Amino acid sequence: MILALLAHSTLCAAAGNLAPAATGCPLQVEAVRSDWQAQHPPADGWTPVKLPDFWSSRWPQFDGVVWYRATWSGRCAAERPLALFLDSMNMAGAVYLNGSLIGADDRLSEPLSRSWNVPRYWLLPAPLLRDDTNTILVRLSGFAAYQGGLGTMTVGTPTTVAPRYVHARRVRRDIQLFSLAVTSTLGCFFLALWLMRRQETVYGWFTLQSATWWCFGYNQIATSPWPLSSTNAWEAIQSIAFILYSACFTMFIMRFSERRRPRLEIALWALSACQILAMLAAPHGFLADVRSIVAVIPVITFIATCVVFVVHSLKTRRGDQIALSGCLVVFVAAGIHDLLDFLGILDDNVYYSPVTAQIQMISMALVLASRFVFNLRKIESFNDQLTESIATANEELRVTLHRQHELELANARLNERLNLAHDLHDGLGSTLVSSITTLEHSPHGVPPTRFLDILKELRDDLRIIIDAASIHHAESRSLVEMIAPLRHRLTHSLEAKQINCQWRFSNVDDLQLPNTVSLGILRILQEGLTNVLQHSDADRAEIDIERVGPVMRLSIRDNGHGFDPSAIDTHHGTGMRSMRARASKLGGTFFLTSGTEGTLLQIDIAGIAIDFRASQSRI
Amino acid sequence: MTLLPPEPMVPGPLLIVDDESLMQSRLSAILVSLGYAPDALLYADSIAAARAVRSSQPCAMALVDIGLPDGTGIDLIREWHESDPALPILVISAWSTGNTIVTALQAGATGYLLKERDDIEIALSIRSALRGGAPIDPFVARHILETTGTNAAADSAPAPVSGAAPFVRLSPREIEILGLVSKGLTNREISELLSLSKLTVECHIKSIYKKMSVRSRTQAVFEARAHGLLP
Repeated sequence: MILALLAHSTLCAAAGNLAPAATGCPLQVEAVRSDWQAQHPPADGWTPVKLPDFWSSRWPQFDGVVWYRATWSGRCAAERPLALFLDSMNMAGAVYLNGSLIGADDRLSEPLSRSWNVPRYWLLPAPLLRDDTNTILVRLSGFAAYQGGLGTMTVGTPTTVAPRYVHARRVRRDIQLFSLAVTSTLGCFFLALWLMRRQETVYGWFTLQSATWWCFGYNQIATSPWPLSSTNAWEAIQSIAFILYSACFTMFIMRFSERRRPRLEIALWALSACQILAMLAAPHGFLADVRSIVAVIPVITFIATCVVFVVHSLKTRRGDQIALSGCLVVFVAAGIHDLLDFLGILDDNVYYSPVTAQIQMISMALVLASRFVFNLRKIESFNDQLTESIATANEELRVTLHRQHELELANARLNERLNLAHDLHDGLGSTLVSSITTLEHSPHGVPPTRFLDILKELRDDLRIIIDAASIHHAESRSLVEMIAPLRHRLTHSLEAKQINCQWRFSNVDDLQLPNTVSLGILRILQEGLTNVLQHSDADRAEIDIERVGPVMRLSIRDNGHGFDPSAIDTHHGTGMRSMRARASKLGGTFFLTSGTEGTLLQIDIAGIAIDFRASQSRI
Repeated sequence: MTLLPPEPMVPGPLLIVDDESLMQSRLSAILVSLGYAPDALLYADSIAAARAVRSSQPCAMALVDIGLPDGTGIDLIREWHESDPALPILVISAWSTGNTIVTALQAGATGYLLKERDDIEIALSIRSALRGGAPIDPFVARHILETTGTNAAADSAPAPVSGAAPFVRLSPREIEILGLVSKGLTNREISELLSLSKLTVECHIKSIYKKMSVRSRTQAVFEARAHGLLP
């Protein structure tokens, strides 16, 4: 295919692609060469030629002006109207009918206009025509190295000639223009993609490939060598573009297959550089040979790349790669067909390459785009998966937290129960056991009042435990709050007995003590105040709970008649004993003084009057 | 048995609704010591019996136990309170179960007695009720503060028991008094601390009870309407 296209670009595609079969007037053509400045054809030296004609084989190395003279006569000459179709002029030329100029290119000396691919059509002016013999003279400027020569020429009625021109114009110009537009569009699109995602080098190589292909293809429609100043420079740039295109194509295919072969790549670029240098350095005389050698190497690279890729895609069996290799196979097959056609081995005279080249470019772009979309879908589905897994994780976390919360709740309940059991054991249990012992080992039976006292003591202990347990919030179990129910109840009872009651708390508002300590203090308070209530005959009672440094002091003072602290046999004595026992259990000191002006009971508990919140929360 | 000096005026007849004969005789002894004539005391040991007694003769006051063989005393209190809001009803409860007592107060009880207390304490509660006072204990005060969600003094956590109960709007003074009660101060101590008369403090507490029972009554009406019992 590239071969065929190369033929298109560098050889004059003279045979005409799928041209409508038409026969014009039989023409007799002759050619003669002259120098660049000649304004008239030389009188002699004419040789008959057959169009299309390339003079490089007849006059090798000849660069300059060649004159072509076509004459027709007889019946055909008399037909009116007559039209002329000139397939191509390589490179620039002027056309005369019977000595009169009917058309010319802008530049007939360097830099030459480029008419090698421009079909021409003229309706021959009737006044210039003669009835016997007519002559078309073409003054052609060109280079032997670039296949200088004249394409087919047809003279006949417009109805037979015009369709040939229309067809040629469509094939030579319109399709090429369309191809260039498609190539540049695709190139720009993937250039934008690559600019956004530099790591996707496959887009970058596709862009480069498109750009070089565009430069190469522009030759098909260029009518002047602008911006270059000579035909030689133009042709050199063309060849360089083709070399680079081939290299970029190989790189693209390699990246598309997700392969990196650094050594191979370096070799490829080194080879390309050598070709370019060779071509730039070649003396003008050898240009044609160098060009044909240089043209073959990229073609071989290209075909090798295609073959390797097809084999690779058959191995990997990836959809996109197989699709692309299918395109390449079609493209290569079309190219080989065209080449055989061009060489005359096949003679159907139909060239597929211009179409398949375009299809190949578009399908490469489609495969690339489909891969892009595939990646995009992967990302989208990844997002979905991510969202889903986040939801799952959230749900798991929620369940775990819920379970943990329930566990904590259950633990808290268990702790509460343990605390309660502990309190019952400590408080009620010991009183119960000691009461049973008292009752069992009492030698003379127990007086009913004593029995009642024992039961009431048990009841009071239970009440303290229940009151303490009814405080819901473990955090708000400050001593003051735990004392509240007892204080309320005892104050009511004392007030009913006309005993004025004064409670003073000092520096203990936020004091939190372990449950056992609090309950012990409550029992001492209850016992002490019950004594005041029942036995003191006082009319005033003062209760002080204060914190002085690390010491918590509890004192109960009344102005009653007092009693003898040493008389332990009395009821007082029993209560005092139990209070003393409780105080020592709490690690406190017990102090009692009693006289006629009243009684003072004082308990100091050292080392506990610190904030127990921390130790409490650790339980 | 002399616990407290007898009261000059006692409203009679008084109905005791309790299925424990021991408790019946204990209460009657306390009431007699407070000045009741034994024949001014009526007894019932079930809800049915209580209804029968009350329909046969008027009562000036009632003491109602919670756990009765044919139902809960709360229903009886609600029924009687709705038919005669002026009837003083004391609920008899065992141990300090704030929840039960607050429910009884919402049903319309004007006070409560705690079974496990000493006779003198029960006598005090009854005397307070006879004199038009409003008994209150720290655990009851705390419970009210928690259920109404106004326990800002104690903690900022929302009360877990309040549920979807309509909000009872307590005045700042009422909240202050409840806070002091929950700290264990008696009405006398509160009146001294706030420079109020003891009567005013009791008025505040009665107002709190009334608000709570009003809430319960509107709730009852609403529920009755919802069940199609009322137009």
